This record gives sequence, C-alpha cells and structure tokens, in this order.
Amino acid sequence: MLKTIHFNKTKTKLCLDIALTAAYVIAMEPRFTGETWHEWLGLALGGAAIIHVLLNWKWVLNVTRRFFHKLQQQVRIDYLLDLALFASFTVVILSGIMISENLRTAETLGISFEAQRTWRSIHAWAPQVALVIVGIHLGLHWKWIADTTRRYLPRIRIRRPVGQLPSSELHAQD
Amino acid sequence: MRSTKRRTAIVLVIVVAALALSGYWLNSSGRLDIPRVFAVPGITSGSGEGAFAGENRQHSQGTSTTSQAAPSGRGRHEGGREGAGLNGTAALDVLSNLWFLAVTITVVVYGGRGLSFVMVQMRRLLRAGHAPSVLGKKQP
Repeated sequence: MLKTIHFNKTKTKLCLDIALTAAYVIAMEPRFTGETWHEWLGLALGGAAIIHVLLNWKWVLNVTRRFFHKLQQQVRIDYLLDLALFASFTVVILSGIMISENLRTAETLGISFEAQRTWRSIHAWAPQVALVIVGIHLGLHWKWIADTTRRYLPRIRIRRPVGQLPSSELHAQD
Repeated sequence: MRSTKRRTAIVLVIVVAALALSGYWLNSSGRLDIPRVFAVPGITSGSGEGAFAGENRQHSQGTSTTSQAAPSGRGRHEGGREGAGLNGTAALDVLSNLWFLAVTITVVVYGGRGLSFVMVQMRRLLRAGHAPSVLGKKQP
C-alpha cells in the first residue's frame, strides 16, 4: 500500500528560503563552523540555491520570454537582481572550490600561488557583495515571506475575558 | 486604514529600535564589521584592512618564493583552521552578518513603502494640477 505524499510547494519554498538564509549567514563565518564544515556547507548552499531556482523555474521562464516585451517594471527589477544574485553566488562557490583545502583543487589543477591569492581575494569580498544582494532580494520579497510565514505558523489565540468582543467585531458594529 | 497606518508606524519604531540597540551592542563588542563590505581589497594588490589582516601580513612577509606551500594569509578564513568551534566571538560575527542582513531588508522594505507613498502623492498632485480649477474659473 503506497501512501500518497502531499507536496506543498509554497511551504517547501519557505522552508528552503529560511534554511538558505540561515546557512548562508553561518557559512560566511568559517571561524564559527570550522574550515571543513564551511566548505561542505558552501557546496550544499550551491545545491540548495539550484533547487530554489528550479522551484521558481516557471517564473524564470515566463519573465525571460517576456523581458523585452510588456512587463511590469518591478518584475524586471526582480529579474535583474536575481541574475546578479545568481552571478555572485556562482563567483562565491567557484572561488571557494578553487581554494578548497578538502577538495585540493589548487593542487589537482596546478593553480599557481599568485592565482590562488587572487581567488582568495575574490572569495573574501564576493560573499559580502552577495550578502547585500541577498538582503535586497529578501526585502523585495518580504511581503510574500511575511504572509506565507503567517499562514503556516501556528496561530496564537489570545484569551479574552468572557463577553468581550474582538476589535474587528467592534468596528463592524459601528 | 488609520489603524493600519498606526500599526505600520509602531512596527517601524520597534524594528528601528531593535536594530539600533542590537547594533549598539554588537558595535560595543567590537564585532560589527560593516566597513568590510566597502573595504574591498584590490584583487591583485591584496590591500585591505580589518577582515583581511591575514592577507596583509602575508604581503609584508614577501611572496616571491613559489616554493611556499598553501598561502597562509586569508584574513577571516585564517581562524577557521586554527580555532574552529562554537566560540563566542565567532557567534558574534554571525550575529553581525545577520544584523547587516536585517538592516538591508528593513531599508528595502520601508524604503520601498516610502517611495511608493511619495509616488502616489506626486501623482495625486500632478492630477490636481491638470484638473480644471474651480477657483480659477471666471464667474459669469
């Protein structure tokens, strides 16, 4: 007997987004996680970011098709910002892979010392730029985040004294 | 409508107060490292300050020898190898990142709301300017 698994896309997206943000902020501090965890967390973040894009693939396709046609300015800004975020994430992960000590990429690929220093330098500032873009990205989608979180969080019921009506009902009576 | 505006204002005051207090606390602990975002080191020169101290040190030691093993100057990465683990200073660094993220989100959210409010008011003013004025009409 197979049990049907209900896939709630919105809930999945919200959970993934929260996990991505938390993991990114933590992964930015290798002193907190340690070098090994930092590297694996970074790689996992790359995978999670791809899943995030795939979950919103329909939107990406639609906007790409209509980008140079009639489209809301807000959507266009979102799209360009998402592109910048994707590019910055790619730079962060790629530079991380290049200087990885667990993967030993530099040794395997025979990257010169000077080139390694350049990759390190890129890996030092790219996450900071990405953090700013992540903040703007979250800010632009804040309404969705707040509304969805409110929808899935267990509601806190405030106990009112018997006979007292909620304020909405009081207004309705006016 | 009025209660919504009041609620928005209260939330804004709470958010700003929380960010200001946490920012003050992080700053007094010496972990609020905002200038690092703007003090981007030169890609090839390796110049920078604060977060990239390790890189500078390596620079001053001289990097002409290619026989050196893995480069050691990594600034923020340097501590990862030496003192990994859940220590307090590193946790404050994570909080500092979170604080910076919260400030960016707040600026975008409320900046956007403010901008849309200004746009609506401007549009209203423009529409009022185009509309035929009752006062300017010649009386018969």
